Amino acid sequence: MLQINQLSKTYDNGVHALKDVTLSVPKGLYGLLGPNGAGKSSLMRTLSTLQSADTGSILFDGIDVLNNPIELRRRLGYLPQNFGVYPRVPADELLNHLAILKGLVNKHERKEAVEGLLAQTNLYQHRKNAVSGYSGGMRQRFGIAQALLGDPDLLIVDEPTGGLDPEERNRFHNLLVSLGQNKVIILSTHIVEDVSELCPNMAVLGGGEILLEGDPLKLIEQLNGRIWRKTLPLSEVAAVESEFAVISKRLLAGHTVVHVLADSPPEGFESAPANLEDVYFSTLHAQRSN
Amino acid sequence: MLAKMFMFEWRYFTRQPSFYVSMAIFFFIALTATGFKKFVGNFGGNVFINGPFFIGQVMGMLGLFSMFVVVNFIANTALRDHQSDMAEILYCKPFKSFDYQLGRFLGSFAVVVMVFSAVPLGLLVGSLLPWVANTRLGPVDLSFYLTTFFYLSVPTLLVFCCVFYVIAMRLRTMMSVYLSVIAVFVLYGISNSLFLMPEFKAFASLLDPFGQRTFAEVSRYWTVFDKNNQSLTLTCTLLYNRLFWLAVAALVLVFFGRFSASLTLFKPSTKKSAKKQVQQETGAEFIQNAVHYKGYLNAGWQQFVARTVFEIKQVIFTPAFIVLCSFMFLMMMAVLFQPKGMFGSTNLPYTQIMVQVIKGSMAILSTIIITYYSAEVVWRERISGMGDIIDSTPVSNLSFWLSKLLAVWAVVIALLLVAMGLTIAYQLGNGFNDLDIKQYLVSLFYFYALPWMMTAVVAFLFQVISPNKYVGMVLFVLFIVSGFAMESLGLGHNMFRFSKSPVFIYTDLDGYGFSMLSHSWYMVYWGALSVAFSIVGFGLWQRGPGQSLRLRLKQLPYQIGGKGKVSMALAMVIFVASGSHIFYNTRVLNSYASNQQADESKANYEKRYGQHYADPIPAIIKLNAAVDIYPKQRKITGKADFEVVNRSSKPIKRFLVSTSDKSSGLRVEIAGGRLGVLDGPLNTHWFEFDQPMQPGEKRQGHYQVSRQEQGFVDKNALVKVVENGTFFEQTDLFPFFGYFSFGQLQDIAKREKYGLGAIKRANKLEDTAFHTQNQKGFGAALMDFETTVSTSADQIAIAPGYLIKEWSEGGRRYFHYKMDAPIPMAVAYLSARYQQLTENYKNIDVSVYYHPGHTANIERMQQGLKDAIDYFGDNFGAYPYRQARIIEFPGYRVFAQSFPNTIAFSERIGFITDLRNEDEIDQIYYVTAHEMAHQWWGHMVDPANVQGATMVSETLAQYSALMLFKRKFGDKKLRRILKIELDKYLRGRSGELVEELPLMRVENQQYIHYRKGAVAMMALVDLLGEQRINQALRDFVAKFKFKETPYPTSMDLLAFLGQDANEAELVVINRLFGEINLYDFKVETAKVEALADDRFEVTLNIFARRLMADGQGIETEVDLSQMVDIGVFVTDPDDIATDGAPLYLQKHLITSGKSSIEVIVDKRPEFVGIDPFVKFIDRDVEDNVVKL
Repeated sequence: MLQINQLSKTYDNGVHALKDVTLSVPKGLYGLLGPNGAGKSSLMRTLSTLQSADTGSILFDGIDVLNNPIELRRRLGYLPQNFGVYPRVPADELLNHLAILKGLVNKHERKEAVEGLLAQTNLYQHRKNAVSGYSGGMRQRFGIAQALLGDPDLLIVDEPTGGLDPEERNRFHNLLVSLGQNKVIILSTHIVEDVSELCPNMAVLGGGEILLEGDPLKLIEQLNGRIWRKTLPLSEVAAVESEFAVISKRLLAGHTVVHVLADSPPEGFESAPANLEDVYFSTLHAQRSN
Repeated sequence: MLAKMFMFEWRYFTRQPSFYVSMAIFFFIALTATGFKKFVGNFGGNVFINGPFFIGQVMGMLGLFSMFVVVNFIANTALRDHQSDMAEILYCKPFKSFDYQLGRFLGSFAVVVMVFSAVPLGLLVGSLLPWVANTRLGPVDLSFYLTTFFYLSVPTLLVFCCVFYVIAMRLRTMMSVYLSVIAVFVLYGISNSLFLMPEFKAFASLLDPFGQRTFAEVSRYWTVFDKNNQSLTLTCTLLYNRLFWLAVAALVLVFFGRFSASLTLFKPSTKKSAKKQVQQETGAEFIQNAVHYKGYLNAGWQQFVARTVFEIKQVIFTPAFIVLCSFMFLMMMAVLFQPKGMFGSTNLPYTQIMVQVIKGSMAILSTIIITYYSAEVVWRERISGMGDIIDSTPVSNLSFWLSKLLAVWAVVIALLLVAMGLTIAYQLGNGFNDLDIKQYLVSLFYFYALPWMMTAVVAFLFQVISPNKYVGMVLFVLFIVSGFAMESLGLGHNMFRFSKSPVFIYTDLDGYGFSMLSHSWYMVYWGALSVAFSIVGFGLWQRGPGQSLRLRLKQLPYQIGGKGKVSMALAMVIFVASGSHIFYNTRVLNSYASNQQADESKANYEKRYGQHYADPIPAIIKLNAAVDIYPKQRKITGKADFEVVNRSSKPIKRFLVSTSDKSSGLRVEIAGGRLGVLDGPLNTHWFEFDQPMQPGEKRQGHYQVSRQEQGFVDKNALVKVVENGTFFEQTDLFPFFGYFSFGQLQDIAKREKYGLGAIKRANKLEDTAFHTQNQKGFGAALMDFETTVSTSADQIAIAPGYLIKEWSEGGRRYFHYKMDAPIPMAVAYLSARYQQLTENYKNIDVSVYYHPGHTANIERMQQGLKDAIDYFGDNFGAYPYRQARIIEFPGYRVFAQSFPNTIAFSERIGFITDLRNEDEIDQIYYVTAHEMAHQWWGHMVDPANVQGATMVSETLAQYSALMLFKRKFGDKKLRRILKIELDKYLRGRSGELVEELPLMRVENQQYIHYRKGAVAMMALVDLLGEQRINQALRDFVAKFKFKETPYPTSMDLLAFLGQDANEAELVVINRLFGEINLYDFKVETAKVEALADDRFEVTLNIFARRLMADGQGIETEVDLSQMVDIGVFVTDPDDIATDGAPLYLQKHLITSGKSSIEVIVDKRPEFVGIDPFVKFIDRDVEDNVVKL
């Protein structure tokens, strides 16, 4: 459905944000994982027609996105990572205004959609308040509501769950899954859990490159039996790190749990079931060691 | 801590590009100020560009702009912690609030001072540049720069730093600071108009925070010498002004600066949270709503409407707009009551005046609005953080561009509508019920708003191509400023000045006249370009934060699309086509000369023909002219039979003939000679005689010519032949004989540039060769005059002479006028749809011809004519005509001019003046009297063409008008006029470009023959008395009435004035008319003692001196020994009415230096003074009188 071919982008300040990115995204939820500065937002913005690329192409359902951005905008829903709102405009008014901008010019339809989205994002009772006065989580929900206006075929959400409490996050995830049947939803995040919960397909982006792409379950499968775990006091971590390929460290009750990737068990380590986090960290680790 | 904070702030700003950019800007403005010829030229050719006056002026002017620097740095200091979201981190640190804040404030102030120091530096460097003419430089004296910088600039900067810091701290938004900048500008504008009223002058100069007015006040009477040598001293007004403002700054800072208050975060504005959600419904019923509706493809129009409504709401329904409206209101009040007349009167609220009031208030405001709002509106999405969301919606760039443009236009239009409502209310309140709404709409919206709207397009374009709104604003301001520089680059034609059109003047007589046509063409031309700009603008519209201009340029063709390209092509075609039409009209049909070209052709004329300055030429002694005026076609034709005589002692072989460049079909025939081909600049031909005209010989001649105003012009609008209100002089149509000396370049620098020698403004008083011609030269003699003039059927045509016959023929009206005695060669033709007020007064027809509706002041005029006929007739000799007429002409030109039995009077100098307040000085009566006096002084007694000529014509006209005025309105109002005249004289001499001369040698210098003339003549009245003067004038007239060869000179006049004077009186007369004297009288102390017999003894300790000045203003103290008034009063002498007699008023012999005078009076006195009624030329008259 969405085909990205050899996309590259270098900013004026010399930062090489995207390097030859090629992705094929089918319908459904697609997770894009990567650490800070990996190029996720650059890719998101390029997909959202807000930025052009130096080379490469993007095709969505037959639309050449880079050369015909206007066409794509009709079918696009976009939730940026950071956004503000016009000061002093109430939520319903602002959403209504955005609905017109999305082309919902039938008054009845627009009203139904706006009210529905406000209800679904649990903002209905706050609809008369200015969005600029909302708390971070409420504002994020407003962002979600506006991204869904006009039933977009391509929904791009950049770090959508930041600032949401667990309940709201669940609610949002459910909403995404229910919408995911007929459209392409690209979920950019650095929270591995989100992807593992939602996405049948994913990619890992690091340093502007696609490091890994595939079905999370299959990727986990590939790591099974190669992840080893050990719990250490903090003082010994450095020694272990210098000796083994430590892909992640985590604190548990004051001790450090390190995960090591290896074909055979290192001494003193126990086997651990692989999860998506291990996939992610091992990918990044592999990139770093190159 | 304090020092560290200071250094932190200093380092912070010196790392910012804005520091270097603003410093560079000021440096270059100052640098170019010294090299910018036109600007430097305003100061006169003799003012040094490294002298104190020039430095003070430039630094004062740039001081206004320093506000932007102050705001940029100081508001940043005040708000940075919060705007950068550092406050939360910073304010939990353990430091002292006082040191922290004061240190940063001072650091910021130091930065501001540093930036502004680029101005004196730029001025200094600029004066050292190699191309600066040596004549414009004095010795380099750094103290001039330093005193001005530390006395004027630094205190001003401190004041504004304090004020804006406090405003930013207290109101906590940048917007509030911007608004206060506008407020300061507006208040400054208001005080500026106060400054124009003499009674508030001192007050306004004390209260000017910039010190610019103060400097103007201090230097108001500086002569050229002072301007180049007088270092600024911190005394009097300047000292008080600086102290006052420093005190204000200190108080503001101490009481409102909150330096010691602990630093806190801004409270979120929770004021509206009380409006809690009443309904607690969760909207559960909507949760199942269908939300899957797709957007429609053809939603463009609705999107555009929604955006437009949204944008307009965002700009109009804001507190800022209300504030803007109130500024506008204040501005209008200031402009409305700003005096327009010569003695402080305003105009009646005719719509044309109301439109001017609105325009005057909007002039600067419109630029500020467009600059500010364009930036806000274009960057709204980016700044609010909503850019990514809005930009990714399927809305076309065009919708964004247009809706935002409409919003800025809406601000301008709404403001104009509010202003219009206010002026209409004012008109109704003043009983003007006949509202001219159409004129309001056409003038305000078509003539003023439309160009502003186009300028907004440019502002938008700059914003779109700029990386941030500040760069966009700077680019736009540079664009506006560059518009002012176009003229000096030789690109002064309005075709090069975006959205400009030829100057437009609405007059009640001629309506929009020719402006409608020319403005419309220019609007088509600029409108097409604006459309093209708009297409580029929306094509480059930024979507997404990182889209550089380069990338957007690449996408331009895609964004514009097919329709855009077609529209672009169409716009360019219209642009080129209308441009060609304008070019054809302004440069082919009409000659266009930039100022420089005009100068060049004047210089060439002088070089080519200058040596023929004194050649003899034939003088016309009989003229019978037939003139046809075609108002609709703006055409005049004329032919005339004449008789010429050679009045010189040499034969005339050839002479120069020139016509206005609008004339065509010139034919000149004089027996025995013929007109040659076009020979040189200013349409000049030689007329060659085969048989030279011998001295005294008379010949018959004929000439004919026509003139038609074709199409339209770009500047120097042709206002003489118009649809209603034609007014032209003989030489505007008929050829001029001889060397045309009136057009010579006056400016010294320009003359130098074109290699012309020092200008000869007048012939030497003693040069008897020129005693045989009047000021119009050898060619102007007394002549028998007769004319037939025709005009369209609905108009009345007027020329000097008595109406012999009037008839209609071929749908046109004909008038035949004839004089029964010879008249001086001063002939004018007027034609308009007039109404007439006529009265036969002592067998003289006294009439006013006026535009219907302009009736407010016509009785005053008629009364003035009658009183003049009486007083002048009784005292100087009988009025020579059977008719006296005032004829109105359109306000394109603002003056009154006297022709034989005819006075042309501009609509704007009297017909619409508001004199309903009895306290006003009746300028109409005064002007009428002055012009009537010219029937004696100038016509009957025609002065010789030498120095002092205008003392005979203008000074005596001033005298006559003042005497008439005094009879009618009394001493008190006369003294008010004299105070104004004295002030104008002293200021006038300060602006002298060449050399100040004594009255008897005046070289057509207005500040001398009008201003000093009025003061000197009243001093003469004080010396000799009205009777003796009038007797002398009667004798003078008797001797020179309609006398030619020799014509009278100022020496002849002075001989009559001194005919029966004693030695002492002759000395005073010489001081008044033969020298430049300045007096300084002062009461140093005065005391009063009650005597035993209920009387009071007053002792005055006075100081007096007399200074004699040379032509450059260098003064030397000379002996004073003169009779001067000493007065003792119960009421302030300024308020004394004619009947309020002083307790004591006697002349005492006063000598140089200190002296003491005792006077005994009957009542307890309140005021005493020396020269209390200001009969002497004294630069400080306030210290003449003291209150006891």
